[in-house]
Amino acid sequence: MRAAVPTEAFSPYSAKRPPIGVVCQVALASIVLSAVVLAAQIPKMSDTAVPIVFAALAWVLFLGAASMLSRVGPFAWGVFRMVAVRQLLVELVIAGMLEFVFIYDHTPGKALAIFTTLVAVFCLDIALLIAFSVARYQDPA
Amino acid sequence: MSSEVLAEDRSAATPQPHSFAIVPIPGLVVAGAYVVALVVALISNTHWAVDFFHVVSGGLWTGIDLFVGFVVGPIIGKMSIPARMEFTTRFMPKMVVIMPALVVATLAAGFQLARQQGFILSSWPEHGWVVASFVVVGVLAVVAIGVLEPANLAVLFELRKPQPNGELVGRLMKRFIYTAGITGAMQVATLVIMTKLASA
Repeated sequence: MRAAVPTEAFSPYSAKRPPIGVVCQVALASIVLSAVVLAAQIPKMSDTAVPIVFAALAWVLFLGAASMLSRVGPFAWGVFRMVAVRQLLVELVIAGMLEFVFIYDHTPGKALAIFTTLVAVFCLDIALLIAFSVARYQDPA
Repeated sequence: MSSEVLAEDRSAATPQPHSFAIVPIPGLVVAGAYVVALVVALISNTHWAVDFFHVVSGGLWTGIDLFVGFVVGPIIGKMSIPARMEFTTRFMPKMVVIMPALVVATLAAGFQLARQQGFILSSWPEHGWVVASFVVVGVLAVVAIGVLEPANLAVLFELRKPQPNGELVGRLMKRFIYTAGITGAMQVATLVIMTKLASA
């Protein structure tokens, strides 16, 4: 009879994780760049090529981070959900205020569409980043 | 030995989770009241009220950032791990409430002030300074929301465990030291830009 090979106990501190945090941070930088380029052109905001490129990049990076998270292995999903939901609620309040201001200020249609896209990816990206940063060091059990 | 004594011994040997509020409710009430006052100022659109919120909140944001980054930060860095953890459990929850309220007030009032005075329009001759302030705020946002806030919350969750990992806490807290230079440079740039705009 062969002796059972002891499996190494899982530790959230030493577990190798994909670079989800860094990808979310780069997505955040893309969102900020897009918003700065657009806001610098107030009131016309007619040159939208650069903001659209950065907004698209932010979405690609966010979806990449979400995809990496879905294949992360043993993970404290309970803590992740708890932090993500609360963070998302905070972000939704901020998003609501920002959207109100954009509409109240009669932001032009194309610029409003880009700002709305940026606000949406911002909310999701920050919730993912913060929830992952907290949950990665928690016990999956 | 009685079973009560045994139970007592066992509970003394088992590390207990540290209980403290990650987001202190009384602080949340004060910050909420400050934000409500800001909204009232913005709705009134009074130049003095909007200017007050922008200058006071911005001054505190800059001052706290520089003080924590260059005075408190290095002191924490020289403390023992238990002392550092003790300080962090008392200091960080307060920062979680104070800083977002100051940042929101500074930016919202600043944007309205720029609208009132026409600085925000790309046709304004000194518009480049306003764009520079957008860039500075953008860099500060990426550092604060993307780097420091996740680390801050991860540290607070770690410190609530019965046996926090001191090495992890130390590693995450180092982010505050690494980013102090960037934050400091951006805050000094803010001071230059804002005094330039105020005297334009």
